[in-house]
Amino acid sequence: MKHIEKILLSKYVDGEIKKEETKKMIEDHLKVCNYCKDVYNSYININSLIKNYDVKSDENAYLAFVEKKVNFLNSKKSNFKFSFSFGIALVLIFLFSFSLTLFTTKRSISTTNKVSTTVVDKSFNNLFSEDYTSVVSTVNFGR
Amino acid sequence: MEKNNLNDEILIENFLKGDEYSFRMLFERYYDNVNRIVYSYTKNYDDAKDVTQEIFLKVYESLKSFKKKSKFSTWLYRVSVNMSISFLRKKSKEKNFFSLEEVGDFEEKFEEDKPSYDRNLAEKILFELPEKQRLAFILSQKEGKRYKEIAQILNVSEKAVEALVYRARENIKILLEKNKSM
Repeated sequence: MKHIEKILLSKYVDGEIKKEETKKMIEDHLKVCNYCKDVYNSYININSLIKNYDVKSDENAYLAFVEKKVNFLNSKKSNFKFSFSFGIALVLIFLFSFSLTLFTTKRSISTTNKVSTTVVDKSFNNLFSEDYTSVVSTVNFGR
Repeated sequence: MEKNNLNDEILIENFLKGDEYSFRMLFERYYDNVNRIVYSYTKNYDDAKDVTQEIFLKVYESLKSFKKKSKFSTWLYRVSVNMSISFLRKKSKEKNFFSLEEVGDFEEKFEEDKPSYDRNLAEKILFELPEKQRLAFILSQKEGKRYKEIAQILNVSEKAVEALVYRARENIKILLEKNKSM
């Protein structure tokens, strides 16, 4: 007689066989085969052994959790405070350096404007002079 | 209706609406189960307690991102398995027990801490099984999970779970025989 594969018996013990005809085939076989019946019984006995496996329960678990949660939320808050102050400091530094750059640029623009005005004035005067070469050079210089 | 009778999904919804007591219900419903899973990795009661607390803190923080693609318990067990493995990795790095190449099967090599209480026969035998067999067997027999769910938790195929549970049974048989003869 051909025996049932042990892995199939293991699945059967766990109720994991979906096909009804396979289930029926196993049940019929277990009625007539002592070897497979023994294997089946040993698997059932093993299942009862695992029922004794447990980890001792901790009565104050939730209390300990609440404590941990509070600490975690507080550290999160202080982290946020730190990041917020750090962010503010960064923005202030940026604004300061930006206004400093703006101020220096403005100053240099006004100096350039003064210089250009003088150059334009000079070239304007040259237009009315007899010296055409000077006019051309001034205009080129202007470009 | 008492809150104790509410299913996980409703408790999660209530918690997300700001009801802290619903989270307490979830905590109390699953604490022992999670602790059992973690303990089967850490083999040390105090470590298991700490990791279990960390797991619930993580769940508390990330419940908003739970997509409800699987059952809450499946998701919770998956988080538990992942965090237990990370804990062991961290601990093994700290103790520098073995090289990085051996990380894959570190759980078997991990030196056990002294248990804080006497282990019964079931525990003794279970802890002699390879880690995945042990976990698949506990999830199936103790937590009553179907192979499909175990596959999701352990991130393996259903066929692999079949084989793991079967091999666990065969190994337990051998270990029981050994134990009898001792």
